[in-house]
Amino acid sequence: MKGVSNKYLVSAILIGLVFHGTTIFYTLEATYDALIHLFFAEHYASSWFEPWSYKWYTGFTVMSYPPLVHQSIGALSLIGGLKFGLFTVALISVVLFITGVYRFSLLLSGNKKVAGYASLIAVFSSSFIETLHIFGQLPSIIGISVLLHSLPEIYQWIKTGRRRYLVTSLSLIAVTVCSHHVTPIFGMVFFIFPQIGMVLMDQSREKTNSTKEITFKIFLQSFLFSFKRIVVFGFSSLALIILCILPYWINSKNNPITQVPIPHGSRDSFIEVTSSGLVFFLIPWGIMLLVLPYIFYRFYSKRFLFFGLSITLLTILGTGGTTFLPRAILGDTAFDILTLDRFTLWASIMSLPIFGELVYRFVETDLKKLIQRKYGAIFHRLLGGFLLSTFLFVSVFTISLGLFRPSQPQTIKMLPIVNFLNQDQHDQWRYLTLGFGDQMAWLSAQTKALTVDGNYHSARRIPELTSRAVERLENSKFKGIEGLGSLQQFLTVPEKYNLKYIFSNDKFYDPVLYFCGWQRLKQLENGIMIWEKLNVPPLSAILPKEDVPTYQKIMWGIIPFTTLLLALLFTIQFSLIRILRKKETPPTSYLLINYGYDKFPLTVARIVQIWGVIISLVFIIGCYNLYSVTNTQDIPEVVVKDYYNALDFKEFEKAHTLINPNKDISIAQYMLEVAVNDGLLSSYAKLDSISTEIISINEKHASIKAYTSWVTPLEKIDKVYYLELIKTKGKWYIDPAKSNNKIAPDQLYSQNLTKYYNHGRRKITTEQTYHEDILKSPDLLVLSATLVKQGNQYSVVGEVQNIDNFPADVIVTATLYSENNKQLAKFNSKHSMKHKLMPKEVTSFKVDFESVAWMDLKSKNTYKFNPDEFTPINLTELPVSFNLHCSSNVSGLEFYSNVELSNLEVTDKILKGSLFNSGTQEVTVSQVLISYYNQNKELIWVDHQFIKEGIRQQKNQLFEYPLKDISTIEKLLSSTENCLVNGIKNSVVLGKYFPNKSYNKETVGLQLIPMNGGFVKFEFNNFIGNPN
Amino acid sequence: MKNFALTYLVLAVAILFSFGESIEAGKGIDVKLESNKLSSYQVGQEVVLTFSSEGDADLALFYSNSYGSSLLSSTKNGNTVSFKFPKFVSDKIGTIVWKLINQDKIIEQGQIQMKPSKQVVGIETYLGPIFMQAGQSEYGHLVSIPTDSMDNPVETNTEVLVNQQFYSSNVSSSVFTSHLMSFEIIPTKTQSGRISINAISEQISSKELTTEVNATNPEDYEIKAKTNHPYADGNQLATLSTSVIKDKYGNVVVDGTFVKFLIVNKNNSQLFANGTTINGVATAKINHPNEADTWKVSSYIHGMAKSSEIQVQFLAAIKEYEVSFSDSNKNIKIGPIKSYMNQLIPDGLNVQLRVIKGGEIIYKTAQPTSDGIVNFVLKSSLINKGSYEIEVELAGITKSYKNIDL
Repeated sequence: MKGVSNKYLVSAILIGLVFHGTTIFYTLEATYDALIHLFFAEHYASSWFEPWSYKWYTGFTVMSYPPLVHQSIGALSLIGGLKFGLFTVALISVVLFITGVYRFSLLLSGNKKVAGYASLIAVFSSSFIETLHIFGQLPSIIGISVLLHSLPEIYQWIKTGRRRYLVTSLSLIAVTVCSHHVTPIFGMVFFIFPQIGMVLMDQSREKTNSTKEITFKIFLQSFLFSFKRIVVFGFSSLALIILCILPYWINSKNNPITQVPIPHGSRDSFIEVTSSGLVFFLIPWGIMLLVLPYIFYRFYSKRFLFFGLSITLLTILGTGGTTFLPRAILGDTAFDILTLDRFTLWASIMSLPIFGELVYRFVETDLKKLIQRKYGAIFHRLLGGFLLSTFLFVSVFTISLGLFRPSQPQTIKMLPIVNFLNQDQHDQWRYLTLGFGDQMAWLSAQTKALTVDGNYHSARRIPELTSRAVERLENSKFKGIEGLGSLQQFLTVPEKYNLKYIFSNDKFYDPVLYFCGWQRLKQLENGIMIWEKLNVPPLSAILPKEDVPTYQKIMWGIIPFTTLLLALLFTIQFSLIRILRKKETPPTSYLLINYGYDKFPLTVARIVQIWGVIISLVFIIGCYNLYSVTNTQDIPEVVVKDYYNALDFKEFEKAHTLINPNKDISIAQYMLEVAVNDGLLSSYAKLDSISTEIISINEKHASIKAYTSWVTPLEKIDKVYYLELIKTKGKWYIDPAKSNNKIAPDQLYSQNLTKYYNHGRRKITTEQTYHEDILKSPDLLVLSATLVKQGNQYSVVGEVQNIDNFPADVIVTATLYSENNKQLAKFNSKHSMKHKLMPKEVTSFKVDFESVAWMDLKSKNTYKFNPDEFTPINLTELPVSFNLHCSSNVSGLEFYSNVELSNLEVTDKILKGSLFNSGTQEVTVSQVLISYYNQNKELIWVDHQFIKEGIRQQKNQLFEYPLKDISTIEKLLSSTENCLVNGIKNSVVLGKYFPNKSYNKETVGLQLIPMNGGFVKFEFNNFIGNPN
Repeated sequence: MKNFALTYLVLAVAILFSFGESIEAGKGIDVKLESNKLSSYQVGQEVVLTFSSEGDADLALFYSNSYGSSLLSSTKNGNTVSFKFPKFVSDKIGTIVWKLINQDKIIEQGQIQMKPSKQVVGIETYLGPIFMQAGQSEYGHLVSIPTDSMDNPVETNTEVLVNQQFYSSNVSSSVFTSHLMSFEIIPTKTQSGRISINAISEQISSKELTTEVNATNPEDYEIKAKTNHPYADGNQLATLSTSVIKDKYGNVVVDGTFVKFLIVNKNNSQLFANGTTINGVATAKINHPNEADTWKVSSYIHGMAKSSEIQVQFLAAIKEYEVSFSDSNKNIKIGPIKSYMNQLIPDGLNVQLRVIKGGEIIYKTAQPTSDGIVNFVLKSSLINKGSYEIEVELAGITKSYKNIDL
């Protein structure tokens, strides 16, 4: 055997390099994690010994993740750039994995052919492909691969007691530790302990004539014999785990993960959430699922007994929330922190040698004979062909999964954004990305500007983030209340984090940005919209940092690479010595074990056969169910649900097929009627849930009430639709609703508008803006300000007017004080005001005092989505006074005042009105601000309502507003005494503009309402989604 | 910041030591200043301090001026030791404080005044704000600093001529520098327009600066309404516009001034339309009501100005319509509905239908007209069999049909 290279292994490595080497260029950058590792690598490349990174989460430490892989990419990036480093390390990981599986298989089987088959299978193993090409978990792959390499060395150490094996195994363990901290810890339990058990079995076997004769007594003797070696190895590797990444452990102790656990698909019940079942169970197991009984049969043979226990545990843990077992085994805390997919990954990797063995027996030895004898050679070939094609199909399917169900938005060209941040000192503020997916990490790696967000959630530090299950603000729309709630807080008080620029790749967020007072700056050539907030101070020159002792920095910078070099040195050195001495080394002891694959047990073959058929049937039935549930017109409720789901996903063609064909509405006409409806509901909503209620049903006709609930960036909308369904030709169809067919009066019309342009700097210079180019802040006047209390919640309401000659962007900040002038709470007005005011325009405002939502974990009783969720601040003392800071900047953007109140009906409890759009832009979302006045015409409350449908040019839109009972609102203090406008007292501004007290404070145009004899006033705030 | 802190620290220590050690000053070493102890120089001149010293003293000169503090090393020539201040120090007006140090001990100290030059080479100007309101109360502020070739403010009492051009009038005034600079108040005008300003000192002129005077608070104004026809068809647009809005000095208010039009209809509902001014005129459009009405229209600029009220009358466009029942009263057809010239009304007029029993509304629905017609189909699944009252309402005209069997 010696001197002959294993052709299976060589082919596996070659095929692996070609297959993965070509595909990673298309997959790796779109994976979940690869770009995060790239970001870390960039950090090491630019500051190797400094663990503090300011770029994410207002600063975090990279000591929160083992550094070796990142440092390797970082070091390689100095040769050919970051991506060169990433791909090189990925290719190294492929080779390490294939050879690792080979060595592990050889160890288990003692048969080079079996190991060769296993290594070939490893190349296309769906769990490996998924981990590399879908998840991009390089450290995890390298960790497990090096662990596999260490196993034979550990075997040899315990078996022979030769010190060089101890050295090599420990050096490999050290590399594993520095690559991925979780792998060696669980690897100890799941791989190394069973492995030690196997060594002891082998030792016992040597004392007996057959495996059957091994008794517990003999086993115990072997254990006592090797006890010292086991202890030496155990404690040394424990010491390595602690020492190699000591700064990591210190950091974990100092900054324990106190955050709210983030839901992860691997903890779902795979039966309920089929997508999680696919990704975290079906794909990793792949074709091995069909032969699971064989794998268990082999692992429960005496030699592998401990592996049997280990793989059982891994399999169970890998099932996530499907059964109660994983939670019971791990306990609540560990269950909520760990991602359980890794257990399935390890189980599938552990099964590879056995699967390789089965393939070997199927292709070459006893199983082949058995099948050929029973069913004939043709069947054997057909079965082989079927299994091979299924195996390859699963691999190809897995590798292209990212294409079928993209986990990431389309690749974004980062250069325009990087350039924008570099020019004009834009990197003096923090930025935020929306809808970038994991590509935000790639942007962070390329720019020196800082973001409030981040992509490594274990390192989150801002309470707004850690207190919720929000991975990042970036994709907050997928995270329900907690996501959009966090986002809204950042948008309302951006000055807290010096957040000035938002790069939006998802127009879903546009309305919330607009109504929180942000304005569109420009669209970059890559399609990214830049939103900007005025009046945000730039970052300080010195930012806070949590420093660590120098010894930790040096350890962190030096130890990981040293372990790598030592491991290489020892491995190569020993091989070299072997070659140079030209000494015949005795064959490694585990190679002497011979299984003699000559008689495949018939019972096992039967069980595998039956199991395979059952699994296939379950799979087929599952697929059929999935298909049939969504494709039937036999039941009217299903038709209604399908219809709204189709509308939700903008599948208008499908929706059209559900429309009553007797109405003769062509698809073109239908598209026109649907497409003309812009608005919050049709353009910015995601269907959250739908339930139906049958009002009446007979043979041909059904009336159905559909309760839909939609998630929009602004609020949750519950809307009830009344639908009429008709049965024709055995199928149910929906009768379409009448569309608004009002004819606009003018075919062509004109409008004159005042437009503004602010040069910024008139002289092109890199210096700060010239003195004469700086505009004065427009003067505002606070007309009234009142502290009110409703229940236990305090608000400041009032009115503010832009009395200057320029359009203004207005921010209103209210602060509450206790009796002893202690500051209790401070917040900005969110969307209960118009942030943009034309000269002389007035807006009502309301400031609510919000605390960080969900800060009190006990108050969290539901994960249910509600972007409108409000967490009132918990005040320690009673507020008795307040002050108001209004700041303004000249801004000529985002004005649209051409919406009229063209009709209003007042009833006891409801106001019904009609909005008319007389301008030249289509209003996407109109917000109605309703100010309540008491009998003395004093402002008491400000409420708002978003109109769910858009308003087209020269068209009406009806709205209904249920009046609020304001008798519960208590007026505490009304005064403009402590109101400041751009730092100047309100009374001073009033005196300057109206020296003779000529200002008429009376509010006119108030609508009398029956309730409490009070008044209301309307204002409209209009968001134009697609300005033309 | 760190450097500053360090400088202050060094300075503080130096001063502390200068008190402590001054008694010992000169002990052991015989050093004598050859130039004046309290000397003054014209800025830009070379400044050298020369000491005669006997022996081999290791001398250094510590100095501070408005740029900061530093140490100078000496040049030795026989028995004289001289220290030459670098050019950037001798080019700056103000006080240089120096201390001669020998082995951490101060052995001599003094001050040098760098006097400003008279020669004006440039002029720095600052003007703000760049917008003002017309009237008497506001003013701009021009600060001008004539500087010499080394960018120092020139001697006190240097004359600066300030020119203000406003339309065709040109006003000049003289101011004199004091505390390094001169300033002039630029009072606003009662007429809106642009004031161009410059400052000249010894034939050296500043760049052109401007400040703009805009109209101040608006005064009351008039409004008018324009309609294409007097009928309440719910479709055509009425245009509301203001007269040219001006302030009390007759200046037209700035473009974009926000004007609100209030409309009170016959139900006392407060409707409104918004307009922003262009050349003083604000315009808003609003659609005609659906039914006959007389609007009371007024307008205001919040807190500052208002218009008088006008009335706009809308005549009924639809006077009569037909309602017909078919298919055992389940099918109710309304129309053809005709408008003021007997033409079919434009599509989209909302027609309401109510099914009433015993004064209680059992069922209500509404539909827009299409080609002047609306068809309601009352499905038996929605309404139980029985006798009902049916009410149809459109354009403010309600028709009621009693004892209809459904």
